[in-house]
Amino acid sequence: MEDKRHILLVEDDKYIINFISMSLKKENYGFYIAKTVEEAISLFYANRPDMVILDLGLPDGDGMDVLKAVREISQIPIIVVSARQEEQQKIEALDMGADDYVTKPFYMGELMARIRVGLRKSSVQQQEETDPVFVCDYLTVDREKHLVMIDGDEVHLTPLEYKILNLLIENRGKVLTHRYILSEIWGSSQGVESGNLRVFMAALRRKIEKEPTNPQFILTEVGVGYRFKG
Amino acid sequence: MNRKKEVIKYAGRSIGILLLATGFSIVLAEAGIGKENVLMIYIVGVLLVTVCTTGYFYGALAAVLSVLMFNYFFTIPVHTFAIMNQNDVVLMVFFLVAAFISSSLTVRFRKQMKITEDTKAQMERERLKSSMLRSISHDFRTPLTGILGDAGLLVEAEEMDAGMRKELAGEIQEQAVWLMKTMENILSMTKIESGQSFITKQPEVVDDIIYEAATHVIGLRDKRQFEVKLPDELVVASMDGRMMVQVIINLLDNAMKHTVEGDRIWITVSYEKEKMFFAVEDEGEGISEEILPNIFDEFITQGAGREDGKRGIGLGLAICRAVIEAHGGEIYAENRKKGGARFVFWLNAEQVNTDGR
Repeated sequence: MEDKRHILLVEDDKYIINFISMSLKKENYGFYIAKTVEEAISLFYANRPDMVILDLGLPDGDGMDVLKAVREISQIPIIVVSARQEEQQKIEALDMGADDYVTKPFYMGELMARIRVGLRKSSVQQQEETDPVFVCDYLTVDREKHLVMIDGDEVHLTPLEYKILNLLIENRGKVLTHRYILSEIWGSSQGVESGNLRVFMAALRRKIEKEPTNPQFILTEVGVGYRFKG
Repeated sequence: MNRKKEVIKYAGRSIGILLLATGFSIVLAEAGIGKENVLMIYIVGVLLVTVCTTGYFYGALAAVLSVLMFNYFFTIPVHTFAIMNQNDVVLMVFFLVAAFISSSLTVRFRKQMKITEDTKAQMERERLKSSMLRSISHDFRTPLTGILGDAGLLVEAEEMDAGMRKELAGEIQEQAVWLMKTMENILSMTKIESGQSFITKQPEVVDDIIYEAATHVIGLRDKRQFEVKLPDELVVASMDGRMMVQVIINLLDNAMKHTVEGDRIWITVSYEKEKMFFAVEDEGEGISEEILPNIFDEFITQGAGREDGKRGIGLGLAICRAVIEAHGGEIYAENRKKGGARFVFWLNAEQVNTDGR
């Protein structure tokens, strides 16, 4: 039972606490529940959980404060769960360091899938850094030979597409905002239109997805950014 | 800038009217009509100025100018501003008083009229709003009753087999999803009706929008045969991504509602002359002829009182139209010859090659 993962759930609505904690129990995760910003921060320091699920609208303040406090000392995955659905707020939370953003109302299955992805990422990251070959389903990326293969057949990517794909893979599970991708790939988000980025992404997707309108790897968060699933 | 234009417009009108009045008076004076009657013509002129402009200023100005013109053209000595006869002074003073009073009354009357009109329009808006709220709360009541009923059964039933429980829970889920979507649509509608520009455009790639929409339509991929046909070249259009996703969700939801398990639903995107055409088609029951002409109006639904939860409150297509029109495009509906419905809309777009230039 040593490796049981612990999740800090920050949420003030009792019904939502109830069904999320029931699902967490079913999946055999340990969890702590905080209903306020203050409680969340002290529980975080006391228990050092493996992940935080964070509601933004809390009775004594803004969940963003929790986000800031956690990010000051830790890179554990944070999933924001909020009723705020304006793109701007999502982008703000993601730029502040949240890994993912789920809008209420959501399906429990969706949240659980994202929790799994987040936790897996944090546990396998170290060992994988050293492995130059990334394999996911029918996609293989050999970072030593700069090769991308679909079902073993080589696919030709432009240098930019290759760079974007690698960035996505390194951050898989995490939603990357347009601005973040632009600044990582082009060095700054100035001067490059996000429209261009969308075109690159769509082109990349057409090259590596078998069914571009039902993508397996690169998912779009409309108005916000992209996420590599898997 | 606008204000300047307005001043020029109203000043022009005032001067024009006064010149007309003066010309007319000169003609009458030539014909031997008395000064008192000439003043009557000026009074009419002042009133006309008040009607053709706004506020007190132009009326007052016209009254003063009229007196000066009258003084110049019609009092002895003619063509000077001097006055010899005391009667003329009295005449002119009373003219001024009369002109001021009548013009201010006219202004006040017009204001009153405008207020009445505004109140009427506002009352109409209020009435529409409350009837909308009434219809919404009515439409929410049915699924809420369903949810309460199903939940009540689950809570009370001591012994219920797993299948039954699952069915009830599934029904609760279905109805909650319906409420969620309807709420989403109502929210969009209030945004649209608030009148401010509700569209923030950004270049979006069509593939993304369709994918995003399709993931929000439950059962689309597993209970229907869903296909997307995209042009080979990437197409980028400037649009409000979230609103456009909702348009496609609404069209797909409609297609779901009017088809049965296993039917085909497909989206075809084509590009032609700077325009991107989206067609959402299905092989379901099609659109009944009686609602086809008004299908995009609010609160129009096919066959009131439908069975098995296929209800709708008739906002979806109204939102589609409002959003598409706000983007400068068009949307229309028709029945396919082989059965089923076809909804087509277009947006301005450009085709890009995949180098991103």
